[in-house]
Amino acid sequence: MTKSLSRRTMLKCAALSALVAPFLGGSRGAVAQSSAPKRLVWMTTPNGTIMQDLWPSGASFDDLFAPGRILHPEDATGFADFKPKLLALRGIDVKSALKTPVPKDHQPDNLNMLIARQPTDTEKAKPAGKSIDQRIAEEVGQATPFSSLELGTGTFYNSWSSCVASGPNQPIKPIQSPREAFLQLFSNFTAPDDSEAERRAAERLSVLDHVSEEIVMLEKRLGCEDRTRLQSQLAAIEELEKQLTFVPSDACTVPGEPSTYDANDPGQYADIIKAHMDLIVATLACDLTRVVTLQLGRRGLPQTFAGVSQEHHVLAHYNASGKTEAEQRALQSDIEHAYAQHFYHLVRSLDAIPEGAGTMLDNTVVVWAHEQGRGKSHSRLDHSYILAGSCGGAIPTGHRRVYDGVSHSGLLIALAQAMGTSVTEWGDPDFSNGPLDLS
Amino acid sequence: MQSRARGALVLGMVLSASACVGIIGSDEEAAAPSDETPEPGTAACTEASVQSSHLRRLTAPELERTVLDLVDVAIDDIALEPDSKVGAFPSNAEAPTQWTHLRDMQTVAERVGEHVRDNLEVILDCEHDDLPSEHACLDVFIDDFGARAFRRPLTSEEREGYHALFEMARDEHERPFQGAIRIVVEAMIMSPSFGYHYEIGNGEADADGRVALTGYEIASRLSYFLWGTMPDAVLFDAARTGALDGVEGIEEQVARMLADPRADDALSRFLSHWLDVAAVSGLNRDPAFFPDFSPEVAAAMRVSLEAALVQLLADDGTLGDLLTSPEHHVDATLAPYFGVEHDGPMEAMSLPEQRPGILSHPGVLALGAHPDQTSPVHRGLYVLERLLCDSPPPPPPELEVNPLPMDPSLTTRERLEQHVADPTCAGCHQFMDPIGLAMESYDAVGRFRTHENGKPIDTSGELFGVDVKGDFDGLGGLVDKLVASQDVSLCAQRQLMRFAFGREVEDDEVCTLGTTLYETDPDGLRFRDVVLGIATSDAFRRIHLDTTCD
Repeated sequence: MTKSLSRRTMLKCAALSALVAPFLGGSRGAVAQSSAPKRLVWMTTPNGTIMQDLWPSGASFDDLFAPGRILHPEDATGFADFKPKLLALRGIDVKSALKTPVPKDHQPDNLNMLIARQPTDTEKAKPAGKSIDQRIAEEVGQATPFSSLELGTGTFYNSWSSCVASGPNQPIKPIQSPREAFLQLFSNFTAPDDSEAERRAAERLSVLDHVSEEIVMLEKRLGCEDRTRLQSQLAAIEELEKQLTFVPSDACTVPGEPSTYDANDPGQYADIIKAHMDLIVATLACDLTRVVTLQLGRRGLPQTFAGVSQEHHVLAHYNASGKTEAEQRALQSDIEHAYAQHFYHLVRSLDAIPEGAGTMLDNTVVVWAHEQGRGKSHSRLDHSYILAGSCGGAIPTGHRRVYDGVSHSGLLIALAQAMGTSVTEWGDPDFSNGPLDLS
Repeated sequence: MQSRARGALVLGMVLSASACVGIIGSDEEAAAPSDETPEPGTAACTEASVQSSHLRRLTAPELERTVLDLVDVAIDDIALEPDSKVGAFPSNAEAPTQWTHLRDMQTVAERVGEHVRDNLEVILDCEHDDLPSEHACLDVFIDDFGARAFRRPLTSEEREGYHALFEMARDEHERPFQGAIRIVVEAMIMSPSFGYHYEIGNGEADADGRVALTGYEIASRLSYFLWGTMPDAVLFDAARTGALDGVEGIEEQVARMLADPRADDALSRFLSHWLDVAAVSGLNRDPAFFPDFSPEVAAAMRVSLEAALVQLLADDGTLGDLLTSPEHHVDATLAPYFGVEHDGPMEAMSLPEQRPGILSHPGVLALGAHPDQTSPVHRGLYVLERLLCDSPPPPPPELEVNPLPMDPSLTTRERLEQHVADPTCAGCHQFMDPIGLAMESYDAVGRFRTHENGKPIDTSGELFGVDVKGDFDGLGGLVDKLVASQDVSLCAQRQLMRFAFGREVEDDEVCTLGTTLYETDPDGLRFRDVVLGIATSDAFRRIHLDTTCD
């Protein structure tokens, strides 16, 4: 197998670069400046939005941020200068989610968001293909130790709980604990002069090498349906190998270890979100990955948040006891407003890190999406997307745009192209009409 | 082939809500056959499809117990990725292996490797003071430890591979004997042969690609099914001597294994997953309506349910007992929910008046409720999905699917009228609503009541789409129906098969239990008997293996 040879070569190269790295010092920064990587962060929150508080019809771009609106920034410091880095879109339909047969309840939503294909199996919905983040990671992930990073809150027991998939019926579950994610991301970092750690890293590569050879052997004897399972293990091994051989740049600072949060304590929900976001910023700054998804507020997590004690989902259906419809709408907007502040925290943290002539945010695009248009009716029409960052100038920002019911796959294609990939079509061919014009 | 079999048998096996045909009283519903369940030995039941193995990663609890049995090392402090589920049961049959899983396995492998390195003198009784003796010891270790880790003897190719890895650790990484063994152990634990239920059969497939599992594969299936862990020495021995190639040998092992407390643990895990007991402790209620309900109450409800299940197994109870037994475990916290006076710690009480069986347990009743009100739909679905193995199709796409708005002047039944009035809804809701409405005598925390919003509660109804259709009244009436239902009995057996196989089960596989066991009466159905029926069935002993891929 030629693979094992290349791995051993790689190992030697890694050891060499580990030796050389300290001497490169200053020159590294200069290289990074001229070729800053492009990055995508996709953040999703549940139960749709309240359009009249997010985006009343006829609202101008500036109107969106007026006091009382979901997007109104609590912290106005410097917001006027920052606002031109935002982009607001609406009138986008998740058309593939309407294609019959439509699976029940919430099943079509997560599985169409990034895949843009109706899930297979209406009974127990399963992803019908790869999600766009994984497609993008295929092209840009080779350069980083983690091809992509999936974070989330809540539980992901079902095949339809996560919006990320590596292929048909191959859902990817996000890491829920910020601390767990931290350990996965940063535990391989070793001091340059730790020879035992280096020997261990080399041994781990030998073991992975051996395991992948064994997988190839075992896979051949399996039935056809079962082979893909082991193939996904081979991909996982390659990920671990990249992680073992990665040498962090000088710009990379290992962040503080997040605390152990109790996901069942509603009072900690906001802290968990913030911990995930701070981890995302550190991860991108170290160039550990360039593709991140953050799935917030999933099932199984008490969704009391933003001082609202009612469950978000119950509110979205206007079924909270003892509250008028108007009151329940206002509470949902409070939740949305709180999510917006978290979104600002993430994007402004990225904007605070200088990179090249601008900031890290300038080379990144962060998207805030909802799995539904409106939570009440599980509507898959008229979705809104709030974006930040121009992805290295590829995305025009500083305005709002209202579309007339275009397919959301166009947005996914536009993002994939902004990331520099060769994607031209995405998802269900019935609704894939090339990239959406974001100007 | 699979889908054809499913199509042919679905009406007979689980006629019903999954079809959602017709409206109450229409000709279509009247004409729907209800008694086509194939009898064992009939043509419809003799030709079972043999399913592929459905390669599964060990679940986190399986991994923990396996490592404990393999090297006596605890790994319960390692935060393993949560498992996926098939139906109600944890099984990693669907989600792919992500690098995070592999990282978990790396962590486990390194802990096991370190343990073996530091305790090698105990684990491997072998002198290795020169090169030839070192190699001899290595051979012994690879064969013995490898066969236990992989639950089967190693192939010569695998042996050579581990030799090469050992040499590399010795020469390239300059490790001593123990240090090199550690690397071998790490590779073994990270191998799919350890981390997966890897099954390829005995290599003698018939023309249709059906192949008998090897004795070792049977030993593993038995062990993970009945004990949730790797085989013990007796099972390995039975596999080696060929005793598990025949039904008698399997019967002998099943009898031995069922007598072990680990089997009770496994069966109680089965019952808990089946009835969704773990979800009970996570329940919350709207304090505006249920100010006394708290996480402590929810936790006590779960404990009480688990105690009931343990008791059922200890008494070798039947499915009928599960559905009808008035014995409940009550403590001071739960007394108000059961409607009894009790001040002390948890103890079994007989409550024949209002608490027939598991469905009358406040925890189960609270599962089928919203934070502020009961949900007849969810209670109905619970019975349909869990006891009748029947999932109604989703509501039509553009339908608003919401809990009912509260109305202080109406009963829940009155608010649900729309489901009957609207033919779009009635098609499915005729199956679930009557079941849930019969349980309306219990509020959203399971307390007995006779009135709602000042009006008397009507719990009468009619069952459709099951073998025991017809009029009934209240939870007691529903339980009487269920306990006489062949459909319920078959569903319980199907659920245990799902648990055993960690995958979805085809109708005709359930049917083939008929050749060994096919209990149609819930009162006669003992879970231990079903275990034996499954373990000796064709579906358990053979797989379909198609290796000519596109």
